[in-house]
Amino acid sequence: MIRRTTTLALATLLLAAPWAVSPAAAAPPAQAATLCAGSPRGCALETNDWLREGATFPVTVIGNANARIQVVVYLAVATDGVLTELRPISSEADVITNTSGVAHTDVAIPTLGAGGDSSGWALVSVGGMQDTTETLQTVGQFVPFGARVPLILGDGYGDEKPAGSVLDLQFTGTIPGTRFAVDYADADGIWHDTTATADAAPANTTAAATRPDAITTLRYVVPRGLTSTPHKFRLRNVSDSAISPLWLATPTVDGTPREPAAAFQPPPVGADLTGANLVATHPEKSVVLAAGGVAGLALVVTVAGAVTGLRRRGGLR
Amino acid sequence: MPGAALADGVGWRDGWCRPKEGQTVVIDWNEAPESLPGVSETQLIRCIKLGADQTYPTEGDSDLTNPLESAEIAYADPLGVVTSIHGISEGDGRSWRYILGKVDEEGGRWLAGDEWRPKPLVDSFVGITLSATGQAEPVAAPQFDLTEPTETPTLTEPASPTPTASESTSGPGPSGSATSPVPSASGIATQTATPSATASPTNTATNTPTGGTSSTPTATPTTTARRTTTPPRTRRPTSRPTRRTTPPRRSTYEPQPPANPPVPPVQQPPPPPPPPPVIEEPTTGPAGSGETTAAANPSPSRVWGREDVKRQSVEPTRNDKPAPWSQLAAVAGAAVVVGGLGTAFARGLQTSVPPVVEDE
Repeated sequence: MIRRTTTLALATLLLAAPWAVSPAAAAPPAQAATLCAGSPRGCALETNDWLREGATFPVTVIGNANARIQVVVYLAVATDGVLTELRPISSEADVITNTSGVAHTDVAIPTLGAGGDSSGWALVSVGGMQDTTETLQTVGQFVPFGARVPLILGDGYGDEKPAGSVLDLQFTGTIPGTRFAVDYADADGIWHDTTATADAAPANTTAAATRPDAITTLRYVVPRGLTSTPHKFRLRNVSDSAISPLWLATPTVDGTPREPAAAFQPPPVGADLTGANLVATHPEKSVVLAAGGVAGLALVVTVAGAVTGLRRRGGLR
Repeated sequence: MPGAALADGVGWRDGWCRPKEGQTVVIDWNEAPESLPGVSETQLIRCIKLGADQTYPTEGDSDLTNPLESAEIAYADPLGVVTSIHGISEGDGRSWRYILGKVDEEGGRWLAGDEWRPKPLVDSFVGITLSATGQAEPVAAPQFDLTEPTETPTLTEPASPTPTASESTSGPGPSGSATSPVPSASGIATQTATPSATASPTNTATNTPTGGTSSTPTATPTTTARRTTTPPRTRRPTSRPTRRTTPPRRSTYEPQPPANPPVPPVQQPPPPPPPPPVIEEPTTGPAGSGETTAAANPSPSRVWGREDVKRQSVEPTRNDKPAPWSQLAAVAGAAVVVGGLGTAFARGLQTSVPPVVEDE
């Protein structure tokens, strides 16, 4: 009997473990509360694996029935890996969930302006968010976001770079399929392409950019024979004619090494909102936790049942 | 290749359309970049000029092939399905997918939805992408070409001799048409002068084109107002008000590139619309004083670097996420192993007790 209750208690604990929810905090945005408060199946906003500017995407809203909310995509602007601003970038998309609590809509993200400050992530959430700390109390998710001007992380050197060597420029937040080139401005201010070409070495072939949350590497050369003064460099989007902000580089013999910056890692969304499903696009963690819980429960039941059966039959003393 | 004029100025040309010019067709094959051997670009952008009647200059078999015919892009559509465009055939699970786009005051974007069949509307965009996914859009977002036009609407794209030829024919005409070559003349020079105006050092460096344009005092106010610098008066003795002189052309002329060429130009490309000159000024490092006025350094030392320098490969600092199923497989495998061991343990405990024989 005791073992049975122990087994039952253990089973309950294991079943409940994956779905433990942290306690609720202060007031969430009004629209998040409308969608989530008391929702029988939780609330979530689901969309594609990644978004980009200049395209349209489907968004599915799940939550309370007949809830009216605005779906807004915010660009996550970050400095040194810290979120500083959530800037709305999508066109208006008002939805009303049906009697099952589900709504579908298409959200259009026009091209951004001059840009250049995209962190490579965007927050798909409800309208009315102002404070960047509200991500813990709102519903939605951070999604990799591709921009025409990517986020440049660095090339392994500081302001002084070794002349004549091939450098790996790393950047992220790209639109897949985009091709880039690096230009420098000579003493007359004329821009020249200085991307390392495959003709120079077969290892220099530059593939197209991949997903926005992957790091793309472009090889470029700091030309020999320049004066040891700051020169302007820029990253140009060949497919889309967009140009990144400039950076200055001074050619020296050895250059000063500097680690590339770390990219922005988004915080969890909705951790403090009761009812919010902590849903990533692929719910890896909850699936793994549930599987682990079920496996542990099965193991305990097997062993306990075998031991109990043995004791009954007198196998163990 | 230059655009072919059909009639009344309708036809096509390379590059994005300007506002009110027509429809832009974007052919994108970035998912199969090696489709055209020897060609490194993965997109083809052409502008179909639409007239006032808003019909396609040349019509094909269906509304899907109308823009291809009008832009003179090679295609094959056996049985009405477009299978090959620009010499690239569908295959490997990829096919040509249409999508419409637009540009408004918010920006440009491709519109996924039920409307994907092209219609001859001015300022519209048609994106045709070779992709395996549902409604794929081209890599480049819809945009307008905002550079100065280099021709009047009645002229074809200026190859090197045509502007001078057209000027000579329209020169003796009434004053209205006499001024028409002037915007084109200053237009061409303005196109090369505008990027120099935004980058401050080049104002002093490239003074020849600005000298050429200043020889036309009857230029329309709009073109002269756009320039931010007042160029010096020309020193050419043969300058005439309504006609551009050839010496400036000879020294500074380069084949007029398309407005936004897909191939990166070697020198002084026209700046694309999105980044304003604000971006030109960097915030870090010393103000670019070391660029043109290298005269500040009487004999600047040039840096050649090391001869045996190897390529510096920097490992990305962020770890890629492991595949999600690997974690699940690990947990499942561990559960199976432990469960098997537990069962074996339990079985092992079961000692073979002989049945108690009760002696009666």
